[in-house]
Amino acid sequence: MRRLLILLVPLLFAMPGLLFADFTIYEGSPLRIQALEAIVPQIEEELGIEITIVEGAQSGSDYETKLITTFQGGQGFDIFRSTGEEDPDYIASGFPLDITDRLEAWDEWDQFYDSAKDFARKVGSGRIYGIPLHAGALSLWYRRDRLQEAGVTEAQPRTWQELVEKAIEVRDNSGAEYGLMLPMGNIWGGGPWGEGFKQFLMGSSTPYIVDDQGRVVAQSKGLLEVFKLYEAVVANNLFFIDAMLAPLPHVIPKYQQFPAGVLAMETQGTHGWRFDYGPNGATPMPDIQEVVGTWAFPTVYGQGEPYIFGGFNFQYMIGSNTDDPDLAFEVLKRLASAEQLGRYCLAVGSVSPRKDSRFAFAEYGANTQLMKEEDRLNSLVSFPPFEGESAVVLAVATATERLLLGFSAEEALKTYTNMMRQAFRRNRDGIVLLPLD
Amino acid sequence: MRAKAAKLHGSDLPIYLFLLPAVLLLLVFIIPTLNAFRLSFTDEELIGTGSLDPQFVGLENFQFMFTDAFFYNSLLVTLMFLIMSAWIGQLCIGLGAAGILRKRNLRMRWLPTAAVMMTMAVPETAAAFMWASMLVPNETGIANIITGFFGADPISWTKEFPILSIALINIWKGMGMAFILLAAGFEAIGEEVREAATVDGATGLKLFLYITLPILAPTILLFLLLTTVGSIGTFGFVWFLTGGGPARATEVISVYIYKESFAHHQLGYGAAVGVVMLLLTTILGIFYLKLLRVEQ
Repeated sequence: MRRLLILLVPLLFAMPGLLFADFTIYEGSPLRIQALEAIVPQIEEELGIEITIVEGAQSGSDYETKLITTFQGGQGFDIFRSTGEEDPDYIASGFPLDITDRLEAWDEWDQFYDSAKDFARKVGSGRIYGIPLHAGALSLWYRRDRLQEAGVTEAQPRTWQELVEKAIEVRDNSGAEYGLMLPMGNIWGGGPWGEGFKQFLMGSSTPYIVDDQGRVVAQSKGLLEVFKLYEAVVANNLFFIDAMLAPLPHVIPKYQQFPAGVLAMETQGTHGWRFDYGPNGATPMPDIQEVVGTWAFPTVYGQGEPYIFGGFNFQYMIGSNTDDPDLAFEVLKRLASAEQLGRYCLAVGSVSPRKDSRFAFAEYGANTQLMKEEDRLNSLVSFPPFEGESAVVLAVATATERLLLGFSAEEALKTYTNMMRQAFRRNRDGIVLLPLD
Repeated sequence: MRAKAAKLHGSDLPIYLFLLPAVLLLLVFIIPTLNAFRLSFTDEELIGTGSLDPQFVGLENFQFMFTDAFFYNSLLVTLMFLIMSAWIGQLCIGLGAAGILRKRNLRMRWLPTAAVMMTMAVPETAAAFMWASMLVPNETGIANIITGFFGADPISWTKEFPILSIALINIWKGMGMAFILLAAGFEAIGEEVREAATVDGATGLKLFLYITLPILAPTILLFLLLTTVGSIGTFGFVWFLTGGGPARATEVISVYIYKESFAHHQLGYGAAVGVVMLLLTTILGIFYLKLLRVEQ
């Protein structure tokens, strides 16, 4: 019996070592992992370590859930890709390591665009906890061929009303069955907030989601204006509404109707050039450069210049419970090299945060669309990440679902406000209700 | 006496050692459960500043729960889901399939048997994707192609029949287990019992109601116990296919807990709801076990 115990006890102690690898990097989605795998063997050889890529789910919320539960369970990863919206919460929870001093001592940090550095500082309220991975921009994509058929000009719409009118005109006078699709509803998860709503909110009468005292806006004139825009799009049947209430709501409009010209306009990100419609994308559009044009977002009453919404979002961060922060930073530097960021950004169809990526990775530099996007990086506008954004994401998804079911913009706003109240019930000072007139 | 005790102790040691894995496994379940009880009395948040210094808040979470309309909505949705899918759907289909397929002279019996059993072998994620393609709301969706044969227009199933849609999937998922258990129950009914009843004049429905059903009752109760516990915990495919919508029509209790814990970050509150559900499930389980004892 003693012999058995002697054998069992070391085995029990050895279990964690058997289960957990030397160095872990948490990443999700096949394209990102593929880009990561391209450099991992080189890093392993240079630093003499064994790296395990821990694969997360592809969808945003499931990816976050695994990340959060791993850290809250006392484990964590040596390096992980953050998800943008949750970054301030991760920092407040102590998941990432403060790397300000290390980054400022790194001679290649100067190669990062100022906007990338500003973003990293804003997320950490002055300190830096991660290296931005890429920037993306969201704009309004339209089918040139359908506009021409309908005799609608490609001129930039200046107001929301003008945008809706163009969509109706194209729908009524061309081969397109639908005019304009804006992501809505619960089942799309983060899409409603991230791929339309917040972009329009930026052009509303109250263009912010966090006020100057750091409170999240739970009611405002701007929010009601956006809900009214969405209400108009639903009321005019400008997209296939049932698709938004069914599983995989993005598939029909984005991967079937827009490439086929059945849908004339949609909101789409920089990643659309490769991830959605590129040669290896979900639905390749070989003639995409000729067929698709883009508009900036108009403002509600034409009160300002149209704008492209975008900026940096995801970052690579070092887990605060890494065994060897110096080693982790060495790995991080290699993951954020000019060449690797060029490779990574080309894979996911985004813009590199480094000025020298276009030279270090020729294929990235040769992509004219991404270079065009990179050149306008400094003109992009966005809301900085804030604590509690996940509650806004859920509230917008649920409120826009009300619109899909035929409720009014006022009722949708009420749903949004109630959900924000519920989410912030322990911190009532964390939200603010602004007047509606 | 002392020698006997020592001898017993010595001979019992291997037994305890063999029990050790089971005890460890039990601890793996008990410790998180106890932790959930602890969490339910705190204001702990999942992440953010609220996660750093959780406070004991007594019964605050439970008070909020019993005043929250969305909690009652999720209870009602869960109950309807249970009635439609587990108690009626799985049981009726499982009973029917087991009853028909027990006939040994049935040709190609292996084919429908394999089809029913195969639902158990499909992983939940794969099943969710499969059902997503079934429920596509236009003419390309398989469900709409089938109804199209009968002249019906394509519809959005999850919009028009939200609970029925997820209940159907749960029926499909659980009928394999229903079939196995009930088929075993049918096997236990001796041919001589049926023959004796037939000699006494019982046929068809009477034979089923007065002979088969009473003998099957313990198996049915066991199945109901298992499927109730399993269905209350259903989360994956509901979250994937509907996200709890539209308008919370499919927000079963597990989806409600997930939203509160992971979107609103209210870990303490999510734990409180989990504790209440655990108690309700336990009460249901005890009720079933009592019935089972009565039947036996």
